[in-house]
Amino acid sequence: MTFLSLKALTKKYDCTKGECVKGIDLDVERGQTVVLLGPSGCGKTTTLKMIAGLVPANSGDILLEGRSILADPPEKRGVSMVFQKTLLFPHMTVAQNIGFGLKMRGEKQGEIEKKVNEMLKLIKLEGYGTRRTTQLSGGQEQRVSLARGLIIEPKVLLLDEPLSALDAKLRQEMRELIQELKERFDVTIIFVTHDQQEAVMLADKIALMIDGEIVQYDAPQAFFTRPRTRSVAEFFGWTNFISAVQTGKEVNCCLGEFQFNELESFNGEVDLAIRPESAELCGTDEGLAATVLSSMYMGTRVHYVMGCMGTQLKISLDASKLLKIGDTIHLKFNQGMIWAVRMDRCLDEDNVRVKDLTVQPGLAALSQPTKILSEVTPTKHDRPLQ
Amino acid sequence: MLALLYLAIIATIVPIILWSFSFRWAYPSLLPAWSLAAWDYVFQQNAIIVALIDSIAVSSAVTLFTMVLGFTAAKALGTREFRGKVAVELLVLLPAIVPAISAVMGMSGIFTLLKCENTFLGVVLAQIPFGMPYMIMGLASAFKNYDMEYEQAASTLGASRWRTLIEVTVPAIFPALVVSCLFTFVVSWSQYLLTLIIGGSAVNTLPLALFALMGSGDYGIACAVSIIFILPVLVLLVLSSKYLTTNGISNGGVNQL
Amino acid sequence: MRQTRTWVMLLPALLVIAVLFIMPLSYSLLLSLNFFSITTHTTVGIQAYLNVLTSQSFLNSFVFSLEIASVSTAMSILIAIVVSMVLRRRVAGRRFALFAYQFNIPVPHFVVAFSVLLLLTQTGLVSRWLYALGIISSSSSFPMLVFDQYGIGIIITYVLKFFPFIGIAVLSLLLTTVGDYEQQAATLGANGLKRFFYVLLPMMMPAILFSSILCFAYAFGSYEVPFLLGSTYPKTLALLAYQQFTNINLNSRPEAFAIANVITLVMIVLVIAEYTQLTAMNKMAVKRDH
Repeated sequence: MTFLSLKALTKKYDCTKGECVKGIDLDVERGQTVVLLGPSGCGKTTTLKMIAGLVPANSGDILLEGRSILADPPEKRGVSMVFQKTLLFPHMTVAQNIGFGLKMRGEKQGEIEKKVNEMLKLIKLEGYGTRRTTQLSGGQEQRVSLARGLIIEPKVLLLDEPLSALDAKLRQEMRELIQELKERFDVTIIFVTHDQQEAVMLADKIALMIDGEIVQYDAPQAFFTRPRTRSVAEFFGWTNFISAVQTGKEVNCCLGEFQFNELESFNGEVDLAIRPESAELCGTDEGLAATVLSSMYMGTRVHYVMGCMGTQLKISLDASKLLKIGDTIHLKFNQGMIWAVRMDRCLDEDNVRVKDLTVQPGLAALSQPTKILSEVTPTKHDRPLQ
Repeated sequence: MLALLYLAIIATIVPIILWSFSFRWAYPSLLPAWSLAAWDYVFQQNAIIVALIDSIAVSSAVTLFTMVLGFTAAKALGTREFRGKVAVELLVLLPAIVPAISAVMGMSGIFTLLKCENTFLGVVLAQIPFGMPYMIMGLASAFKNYDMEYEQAASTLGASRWRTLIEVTVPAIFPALVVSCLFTFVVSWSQYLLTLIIGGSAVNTLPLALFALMGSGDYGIACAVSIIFILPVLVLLVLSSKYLTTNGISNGGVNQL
Repeated sequence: MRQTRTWVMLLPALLVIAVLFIMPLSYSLLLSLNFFSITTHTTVGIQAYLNVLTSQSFLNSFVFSLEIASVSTAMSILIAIVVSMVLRRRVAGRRFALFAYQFNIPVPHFVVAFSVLLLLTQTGLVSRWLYALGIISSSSSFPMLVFDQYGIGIIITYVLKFFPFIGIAVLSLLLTTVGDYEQQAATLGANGLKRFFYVLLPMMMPAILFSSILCFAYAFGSYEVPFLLGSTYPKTLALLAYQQFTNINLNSRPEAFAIANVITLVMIVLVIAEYTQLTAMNKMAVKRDH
């Protein structure tokens, strides 16, 4: 039995602005950290609030340990939430804040004090108990907020972008603290963020939400190797999308023919997605010919835009060998970082597709490349390349 | 529950409306003998119209002066910290708490010495300090959320101090300005004791006329005049309702202290 | 220098208040101490205060004013909280209710008093309805709510005006900052009643305190409303002071000022007490706005 289950959960605010949740399904195992990831306005906070009971759902169900909690008020669900604004009660001390949930449960004062002191040690704020909440720094506030949510040993802990207001170093410290506390209290966590890196660091599984729907629910690695659709891929840093046609498990495009054994069988238009790190320089007798159109030096790597087989590719190569604009080189691709992605349901005109290239491997492109390359003006950069 | 609220509102003015249309409404009849006699009287009588104009004149003058005199103080209180700020805040608040009766007798003495007793000016001057707290509190709370950098940006773009005021500062706090002026106007509009003692014979505002009528026993006319009395402020309320959100002046006072 | 500029900015308002308000108050103080006596028999001193503070009528008036102010303020706070708690949910007719809530604010106190007069005197409208319904048999069976010993009509008037004033302050808090905290408390296991007492009420306290002080002060020192609706005895302090002020006997003058000054003193004490309380609360207030 799944620990926490969302079934066809729906909430309508104003779907034209994308503010709604469109029938999502999610299964969370006990003790997992699941991250709801997605761009602003995609509905992840709304989903979280529905789980907490702060926002009523229009339809669907929420099951905790097999039992529906949809009708339960927030205080009875065994689900605690930490918000983006720390919302520490200003008229109470730090200790009173942390102990609040225990007091609401009716625990004895002595017990509460004991637990609060233990908690203060864990979050490294020993001795801060009698301080007023206004005397705390941002990071300290978040620690207290976290402690307050965990001390009542909830079944599920919901975190709504709690780290977005902190600077990079604090964020890292907090992430480590969350991991520690999670192990200590053995709690199931659902974490909402728009930061892809944070998601990858913390999650056992990531649910990527776009426009109110969960587009992919997988372990973090899968998003870097097997994104399901184009928007998923774009969100995770896949930069190249070449129009292609998939037949069965074979994908054909201007760059050639690719066979994917693990790809779901499908017949139709897809995009061939290529990660920028997937390309490598190679000898002139192998791979594909490409010309450097522009470059951007990033320190350990260089981002190039290259013209290849009639299309443009964004490639990231090691900075140990710097290429100049106009250089012609050969590239070979690591097929582990290439994948075929489906179209998303709503495709807007901004999706640039390289048009009208016939699908025969290589041939059609060979007749066109000079024309396409000459139409492209190489971008100039301030920093001269060696 | 809401019914109680509506009841409260109804209780406040429906009787007045009804009674104004009556002529001798004796006990125990439930409905009056409908008549427009009261209204006829009101519109024929110059005195009421004059009192209305006087009230408008006095209250407008008071609001204007209070705004001009209190503006910079509100800005200072809202945007700056300084030693003695607490004392200033308390001082500004004082006229809102100390009632008119405490000050008016002393005022009477001083104004007689200054020869403004029984003048229009005297009445206006007397009412100004009582409007100050509301004007300043309302504006100061708006200034608390105001960023001085707007003005700095304006001056780097070449705006003179005066133009910055008109085109940057005032528009930025405009809602609070409207609400504060409304409050000050209402406070002045309702003044009775001050006008009675300071203005007495020379200045006859509507409250004075109204009190006389209320005491006279002819409730019909008193009611008609009451309606004329509350109409202008209700109109002002509706006009400025866009600025009077529930987030309006009510928070202003709290933030002040 | 920055400091000087600040004081220059404060000057007009401070000057106005000093000249048009503080000076009259000081003058009132001096007059009560007989500094500018007109009759030759009196000397500078606190004689007026002694007379006043020992007089039965003063003490009765003081108690009467206090009673009216406390009762009306307390009731208004209760009603304001209840109504605001109801209005924060999206109930039917809410928009109209919100407008109605603000409606009483610009209506002057004595107009409301007049309305109460029309409704609640023994020959008033409510009495007539009760008579028509057969509940009372004559006008004199209707309880004396106006011109009475306890100032009931006066209290009702004040409550009608005060509760929207306090209520709007409360409502705006409930709909914004305080509302978020309530959600947090819910996720920590607090049910409705607990949320109210442990979170909502403490957080609304500063706003309630501030607006109710204004109301209390008004109720304590107002002249117009008790004049319309009060009986001849006891009078509120403001009425008593006015009576002495307009007394033909010039010896009453200092006493009038004395009474007025007592009112002022009470008010000043009130302001200071309120201020201390509010600063203590403000130390706990939300300083950081995310």
